[in-house]
Amino acid sequence: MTPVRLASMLLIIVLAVAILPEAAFASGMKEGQPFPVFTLADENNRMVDIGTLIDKPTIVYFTHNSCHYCTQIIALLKRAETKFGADKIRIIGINIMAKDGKLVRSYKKELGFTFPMFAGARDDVLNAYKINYVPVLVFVDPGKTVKRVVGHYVHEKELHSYIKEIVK
Amino acid sequence: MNISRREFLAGALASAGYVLLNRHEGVAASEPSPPAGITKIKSLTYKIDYLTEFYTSSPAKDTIRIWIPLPAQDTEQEVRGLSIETRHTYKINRATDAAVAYIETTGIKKGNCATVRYTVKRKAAGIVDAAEGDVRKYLKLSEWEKWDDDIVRYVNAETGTETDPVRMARKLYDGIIDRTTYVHKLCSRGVSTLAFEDKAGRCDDFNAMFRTMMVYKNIPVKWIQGVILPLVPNNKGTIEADCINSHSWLEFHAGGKSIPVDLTEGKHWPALRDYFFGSLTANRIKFSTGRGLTLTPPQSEILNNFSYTHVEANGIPMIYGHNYRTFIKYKLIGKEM
Repeated sequence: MTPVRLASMLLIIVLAVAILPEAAFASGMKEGQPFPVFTLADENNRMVDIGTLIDKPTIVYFTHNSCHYCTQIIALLKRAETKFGADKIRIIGINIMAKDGKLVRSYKKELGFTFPMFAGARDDVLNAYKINYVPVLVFVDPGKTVKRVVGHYVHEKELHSYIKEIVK
Repeated sequence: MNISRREFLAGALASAGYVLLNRHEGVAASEPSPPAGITKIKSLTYKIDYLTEFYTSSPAKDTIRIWIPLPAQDTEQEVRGLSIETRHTYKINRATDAAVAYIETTGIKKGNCATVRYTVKRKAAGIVDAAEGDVRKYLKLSEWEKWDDDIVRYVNAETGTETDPVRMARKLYDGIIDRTTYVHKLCSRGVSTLAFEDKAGRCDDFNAMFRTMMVYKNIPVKWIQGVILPLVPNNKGTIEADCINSHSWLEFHAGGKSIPVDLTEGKHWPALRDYFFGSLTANRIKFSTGRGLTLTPPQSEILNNFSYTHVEANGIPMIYGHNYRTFIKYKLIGKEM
């Protein structure tokens, strides 16, 4: 490769980064910023301040009943909870289709998990987190600071590496 | 490796020119090329099997309600030989915005629940005289389409002093395609303000933004929902009819004409960006129009999207991918050039 060609290629990369639009997602949760907390309905329609649950490294998982990939992530989260230990990590689900506890209860029963899940189909909640699509995984440290936001399907190895970042 | 400042600058200028010029044209070396002659296809005819399959069984005491989308029938889409193979009793309910095969039963067994079979001849669409009388109904935005100050500022900057609705539409079409990254494997809500801020999304996001911006400019836009089959002609195949493979496109109304646009296909195939402003390829099936659909009979939840079967157990939506899945088996049996 000639130096000119190499320089051209490097510049294409630099320009591409500079010129092309930058994609973001779930921009209501920014890395390094406090995780916004709400009081949400659980499967028994009991209102819970989810901030009180973030007492250890936490994964907040946004999902929806129509999302096929999302059910696969539930399976990965169940396995991660077993591998890392429920005393080491907290998993919180937010179902953005659920207006109340009825759908959450059914979702938990169908997919067979015990970690808390809440009804998230509320304008104030969706607008604050800025959730436009699912799946979204948010990794939060015990100080309630967002460490990482992942807006796509994850493989198990990737999920574990993100968990290790918050479980130290 | 050593390069001189002169060589670096020469490379830099050459590259800048290449990127800037080609970006504006929407064609770069790595971008996909559409199949030759694709825009010359007048119609495609497919044999379709639309399968709804259950992966879990429900107890006999559960009331299971199933809404299966049926293809629309209009001037662009001719449906023949529709039949439904199922052990359950069903009703066909045709409304103006969505047609469904509706099943209500108690309990459900694992396995195939229903296969809807039909032949669909889908024409490539272009600009036509608007057949509908009052198109002002398409100025009503759904709950997912709102403009905020950022969108208003953007629309005003993009359209400037332009007053011709078609030229305004083209500026917004190009602007959205340029500034928005397409992401495929997500289930999106299609919220215009969030997609605008994210600068990313799927077809529903591109279309929510375009529709919001056009309606802000008082230009009526109709929302159409369906699925898209591979543009590269395959004789047969199977796709999953889920939120990821669902596809939406739009028709806006100006000067007594109905003008189709497909923003994400224009994004995906840069060489066809001009084509998809005013034309649609035939590799698609239309199921419904509008957003926030209420089916017949009404379902429990608002449906943003009805390209795939919706199922409720005791009034609670079942989980796609866990309880059930839907697939489209297609076979191309006719092509008109």
